[in-house]
Amino acid sequence: MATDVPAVKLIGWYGSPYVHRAEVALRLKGVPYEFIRDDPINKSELLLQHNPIHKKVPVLLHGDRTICESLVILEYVDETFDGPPLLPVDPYERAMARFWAHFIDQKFARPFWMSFWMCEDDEHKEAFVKEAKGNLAILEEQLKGRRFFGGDAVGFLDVAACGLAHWLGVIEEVSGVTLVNGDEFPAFCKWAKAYVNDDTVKQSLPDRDELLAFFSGNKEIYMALARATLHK
Amino acid sequence: MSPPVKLIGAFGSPFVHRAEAALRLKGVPYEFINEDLEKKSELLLKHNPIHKKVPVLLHGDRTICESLVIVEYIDEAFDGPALLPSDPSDRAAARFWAHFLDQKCGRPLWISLWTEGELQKGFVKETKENLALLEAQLDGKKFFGGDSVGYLDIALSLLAHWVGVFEEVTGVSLVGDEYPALRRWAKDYTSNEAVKLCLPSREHIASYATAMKDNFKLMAMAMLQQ
Repeated sequence: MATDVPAVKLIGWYGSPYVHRAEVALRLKGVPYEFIRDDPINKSELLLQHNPIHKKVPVLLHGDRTICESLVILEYVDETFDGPPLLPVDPYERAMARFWAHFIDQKFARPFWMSFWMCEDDEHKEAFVKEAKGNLAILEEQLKGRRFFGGDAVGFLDVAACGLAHWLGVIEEVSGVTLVNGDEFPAFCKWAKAYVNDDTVKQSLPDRDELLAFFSGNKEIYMALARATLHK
Repeated sequence: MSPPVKLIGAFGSPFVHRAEAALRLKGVPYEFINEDLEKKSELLLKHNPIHKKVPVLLHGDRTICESLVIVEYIDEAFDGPALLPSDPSDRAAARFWAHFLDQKCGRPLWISLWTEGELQKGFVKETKENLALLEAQLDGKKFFGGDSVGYLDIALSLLAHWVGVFEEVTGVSLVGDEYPALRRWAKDYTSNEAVKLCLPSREHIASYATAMKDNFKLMAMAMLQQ
């Protein structure tokens, strides 16, 4: 029997935290979807057709609509489908969730990346580690004793911060640099555990061992890139 | 009675304009607190310790930072005409294009305006391609939001007002005749009754840009290194 509910498809690369954001949103809302696995080295015509500007994943296809950018997808999924709200109801709480999600996307990448992949004896490394830990401290404070940023349940900001809950630990292991510890960031550590163990989240988290193998394989490249970008 | 609204801003800033335009379009009275960006106040540093930038919206005891976050907050917290479209797909498109401007257009635009020579040419080409994408988004509409000014018009306001002045000051032509829809939109946006009230004059922007020319060129050179 034909259904008039448009099919939902998600184009993604296995292992991407940005793709995970979109997947977990769909799962939290109970929206069935088809995952179209793309290859970052060999991008498909489908991806290039639907995201010609950024040529990146995730890309959500909902009937004849295309939505790009993981945080934009999160809000679209929240607004379009029934199910538990991802963003808080109060406008101020919503603004805070958006602000902190952008903070994570804008302010975390460089200091974290450089902390992990710069040489031990590089004099600049310490400054990056200090900055990365400073950012973690800010997030620690935002948790304010709550189980999740969203309160009792996983919400928009938890999903936005997923990279810190799952991928961060893997990169720490591969690089040998530890930034997160239970003494300095107890609330953050509890949050990360709660996030990755959530029943719905678990279903779309890439396998930790696979991530380990992937990052280990690229270690030399990351270290070379870190050296190169420092001097830009 | 709604708690008082104050906006910490710097006169002339296109990001501050976004917040002001949203407040005026919603009909929300507010107090403008002008900030000296060379000598940032305790008030600003207290309310935006992370980025130390304007605009910052103070609504009673709430603080909201980041211009686009502020615009969405204003849309959701106050009554008045909706700034974002009602359809989720249109809302997603508006957010996507606003981020496109901030993330993809900003750098090549600035370098195009404030550098010269061979390197500049590539960025001019990139800027023109970006402008063509935005031209296509207007798609016969008066505003990006449809019949009235909305979120995306506000987000793109830099292109409606500031870029034209910078083009005059630098002699670099970017938004030319090949963008008839954008040029018409710029006129319509800047003549909107509510928007007009919070646009800095062209003379003000021109004299500021002229005075800051050397600084802007240095900033563009630094961007080239990124």
